[in-house]
Amino acid sequence: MRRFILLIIALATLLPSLAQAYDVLVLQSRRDPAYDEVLKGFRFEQKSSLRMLVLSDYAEVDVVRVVREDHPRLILALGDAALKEFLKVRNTPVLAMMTLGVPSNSSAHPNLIGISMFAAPESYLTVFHNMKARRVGVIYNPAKSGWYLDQARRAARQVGIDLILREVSTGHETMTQLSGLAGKVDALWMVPDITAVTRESIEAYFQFGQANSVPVISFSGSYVNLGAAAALDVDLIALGRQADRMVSQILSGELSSSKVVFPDKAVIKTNRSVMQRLDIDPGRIVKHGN
Amino acid sequence: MPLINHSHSLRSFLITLCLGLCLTVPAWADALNSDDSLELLNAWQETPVTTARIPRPPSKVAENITVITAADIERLNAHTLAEVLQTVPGIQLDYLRTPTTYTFFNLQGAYNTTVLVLVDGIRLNTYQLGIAPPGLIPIQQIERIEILKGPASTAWGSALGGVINIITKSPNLEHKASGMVSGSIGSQFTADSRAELSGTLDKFGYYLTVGNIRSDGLNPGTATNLNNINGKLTYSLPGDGIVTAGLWHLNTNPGMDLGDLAKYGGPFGDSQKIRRTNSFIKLTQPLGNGLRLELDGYLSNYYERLFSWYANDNERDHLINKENSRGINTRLSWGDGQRNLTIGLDYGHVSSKYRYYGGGDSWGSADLVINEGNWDQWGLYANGAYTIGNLTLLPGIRHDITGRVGDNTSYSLGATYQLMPDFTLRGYATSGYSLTTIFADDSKPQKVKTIQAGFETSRIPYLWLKGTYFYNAIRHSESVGINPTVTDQNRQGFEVELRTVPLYGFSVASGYTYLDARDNDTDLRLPSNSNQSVPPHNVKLKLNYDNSELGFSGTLTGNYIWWNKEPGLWYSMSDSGMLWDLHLNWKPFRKHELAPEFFFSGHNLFNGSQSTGVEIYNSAPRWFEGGMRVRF
Repeated sequence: MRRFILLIIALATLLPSLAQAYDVLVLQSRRDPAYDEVLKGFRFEQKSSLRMLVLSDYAEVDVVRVVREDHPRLILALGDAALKEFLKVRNTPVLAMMTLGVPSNSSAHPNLIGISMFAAPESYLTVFHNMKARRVGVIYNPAKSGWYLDQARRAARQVGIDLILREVSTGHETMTQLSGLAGKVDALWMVPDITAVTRESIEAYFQFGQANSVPVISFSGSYVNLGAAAALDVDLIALGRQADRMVSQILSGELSSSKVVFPDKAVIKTNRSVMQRLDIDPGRIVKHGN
Repeated sequence: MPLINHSHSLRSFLITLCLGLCLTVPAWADALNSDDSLELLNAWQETPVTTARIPRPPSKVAENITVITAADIERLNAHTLAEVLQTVPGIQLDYLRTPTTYTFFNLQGAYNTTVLVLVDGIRLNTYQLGIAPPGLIPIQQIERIEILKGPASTAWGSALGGVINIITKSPNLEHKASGMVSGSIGSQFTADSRAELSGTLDKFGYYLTVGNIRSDGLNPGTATNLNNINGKLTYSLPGDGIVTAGLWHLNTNPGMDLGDLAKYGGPFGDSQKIRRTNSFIKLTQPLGNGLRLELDGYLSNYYERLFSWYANDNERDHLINKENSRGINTRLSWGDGQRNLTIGLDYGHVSSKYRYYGGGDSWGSADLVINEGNWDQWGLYANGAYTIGNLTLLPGIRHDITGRVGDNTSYSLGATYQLMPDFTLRGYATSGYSLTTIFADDSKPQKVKTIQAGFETSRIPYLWLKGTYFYNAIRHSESVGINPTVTDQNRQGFEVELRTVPLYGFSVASGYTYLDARDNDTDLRLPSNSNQSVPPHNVKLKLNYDNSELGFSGTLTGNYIWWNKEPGLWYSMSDSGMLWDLHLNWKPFRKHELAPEFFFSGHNLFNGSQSTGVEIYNSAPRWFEGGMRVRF
C-alpha cells in the first residue's frame, strides 16, 4: 500500500515534465476564484492547446527556459506576479490580464498586449453624466494611472464634465487630498490606482461621500458593500472569452501591435440605500450605464 | 502484532510535519508575489461567515470558526457530512462505519447532543434524543459548512457545544441550465449516484439534486440505502430582494443500530428506517439606509423507527420517534461589515412522540408512550458589532422561552483586534445552554460559561496559523445514550491550526486539539466511553497536491485520536487510533466542455480503529472506491 501511494505521488509529480508542444502557455500568479472565473470563459471557446503553470505552486519557475524549450506561440499572463515573470521574455507575444501593470510596461515590451481589468473611462463618464454630476473628483498617482486619466480627461471634455484631479505619490496623502475636495465636487470617482486606494484609505472615501453627500463611484462590486453608491463591475467570464478571441487573433496574425484594450462587458452594481439617501434614481444609471 | 503502532504513528506524523516545514519554508523565499491588482479588485475583503446570523468578515468574528467550501468537499470525494467533519480540527467522529450509517461526534469534548446542526437555518437535532447524526446528511447539495466551536446561544439558542451551519447550493447565476452527474462504486457494492441541475432564467433560479447511496455494508450489519432529493427555487424581487423556497426529503435505512448483540442477550437483529422532510420559504429584502429584513417560515417532519427481533420470532420491539416542528424566524439587520446590529425573533412549535410497542423482552409486551410533548418555543435576540479603528466589539444577548426546560437568558461579549493587517487577536466570554434529552431530568437545561481567546495570522511567511484557548464551565452536563450520566464539568484546552502555501503543488493543513475535561466535584480527569467522549488529544493532517496542468489533485488525510479510555469497561474500546485516507481526482481533458473527471478514494488505508465500541461499532476497515463525474 505504501508503495502504491508513493507511486501515485511520484507519477503525478513527474508527469508534468513530459508535457510538450502546445500553443499557449498560461501562467497564473496564484490560485484564486477570480482567475478561475476568467479561465472558465477562456476555455469555453478556445481551441488551442495549452499548458498551465501556477506560479505560487513552485519555489522557482524559470519562465525563460520554459519558453525556450517549449516554444509556445503565445503566453497568457494572469496577475501581477505572472506579468513580472513574462517581462523577461522578449520574442513571444504575451497577453496579460488581471493586472494593472501592462500600460507602464507596454512601451518597453512591444510583444506585450493587455486587457485592462477595469472598465474604460468613457463608461464611468456616462454614469456621471446620467447622474448629472458636473464636477467629479479623482485622486490618482500619475506614475500609476496617468495614462488612464489622460484618456478620461479627453472623454470628460466631450460630455462636459470637469474632472477635479488631485495627485498623490503615497497612500498617506489620500486623506489630505480628499479633505481638499470638500464642497468642490458633485461626485467622487474612485479609480483603480494602488497608491490612491489602499486597505487603509478605503474607509476615507466613503466617509467623505457620507459627510459631503456625494456619491462615490468605484471600479469593483466589492466596494459597493463597503459604501460606494455604484461600481462598474467587470464580468470576469466575459473577460475570459474576450481573451480567448484575442488569442485567436494573435495566433492568426491579425493582432500584433502593443496595446491595452478595455473589457467588453461591465455591469453596474448599485447600493440602493446610498442612492436613496443621495436622492439618485438607480434605474437611470443602470439603464444607461451598461 | 498490530500493523501500526499508534504512538509511533503520531510521533512519525509530527516529525514528518516539522521536517517538512523546516525544509520547505526557505525554498519559498522567492516564490511569493503579492498580487496588488487582485487585492484592489477584491477590496481586501474576506468571504463573510453567517454564524452570528448576519454576514461578517471572519476577522470581525470573535469565535473560533472553521469554514468548509464545496471545493474542499469535492477534494475528499465525501458521501456524507461525517466524512468531512472527520477532517476538521477539534471534531472527532465515532462509529464511522459504512457511509450513511449512524455516527456520533464530539467538538472539543462537547457531546453531539449539544452541538446545533442546521441546514438552511432549520434545526436537525431531534428534540427527543438531541442528535443530528452527520452520517445521515448527504454532502452533494452542500455549498458551504460553517463550524463555530464553542457556545453560540446568544445567536442560536440551544447550542452549548457549538454550531454546524450548513448552507445548501444555490442556483447557478451564469447559465440557464447547468448540471452534473456523478457515480461511484466501491468495496461491498458501496455506490453513490447523484445528479444535479441548476440555472437562472431572468429573475427565476432553480437548483435540483437527486441521489442514492447504498452499500452491502463495510461492517457486519451495516447494509444501507439512502435516497435524497433537494430543491431550491429563487425569485428576484425589485430592490435587490429575493424569495427562496427549499425542499429536502430524505429516506434512509441506515443499517442495523445494534449490530450483533445476540451473544449479549440482546436482539437477534434489528433494522432502522428514517424519513426526514424539511421545507422553507425565505424572504430577504433590503429596506434602504443599511436596513435588511429577513423572514422565513419552515416545516420539518422527522420519523424514525427501530425494529428489533429476537431469537424467538414472537418477540419484536418497535421504537418509533415522530417529531414535527414548524416556525417563523424574523430578523432585522442594520449596518455593514464594520458596524451592525441584528434583532431577531424566533418562534417554533414542536410536537413529538417517542413510542414503544411489540412483544420483545426489553420493554415487555406493551404499547406505551415513552415521551410525548407539544410545546411552543420563543427566542428574542440582539447581536451587534461596533468597530473603532482596529478594534471591533461584539456584544450579544438572547432570551429563550424553551417550552421544556424553562426560560434562559444568554449573554456574550466578544472582541477582535487587528494588530496588523495580517494578524488578528480575538476573544469572547459567553453563557449558553442546551436542551436536555428525554432520558435525563429535563427540569433544567445544561448550562455553560465560556472564555475563549486566540489569534489568527499569516504574518509568518508561507504559513497561516490560528491558535485558540478555551475554558468551559458546564453544569448539569448530560452524556449521550439512554442511560446518561449528569455531571458538572470543567473543560479547557487549546487548538492550533496551520496551513502552508503550496510548494511544487504540495501544501499541508494540520490541526491539534488538546482537552483537559474534569469532574467539577472530584477534580478528576474524565475518561471516555461510548456515552461520553472527551479525548485529550486529537490531531488532523491533510496533505494536498494540485497539478492544474494535468488536471490532477490528491489529498492524503490523517486523523489521530487518543480517547483516554475508561478502565474496566465491559465492552471493547479503542484507546487510541490513527486513520489514513487517500483521495485522488483527475480531469484529463480539461479543455472539453463535457470532460469527465475521475476520482478514487482509499479509506482507512492501514486498517486503524477509532471506535468507542469496537465489537459492534468498529471503524470501517480498509476499503476502496472509484467513480466519475461530468459537468455540463
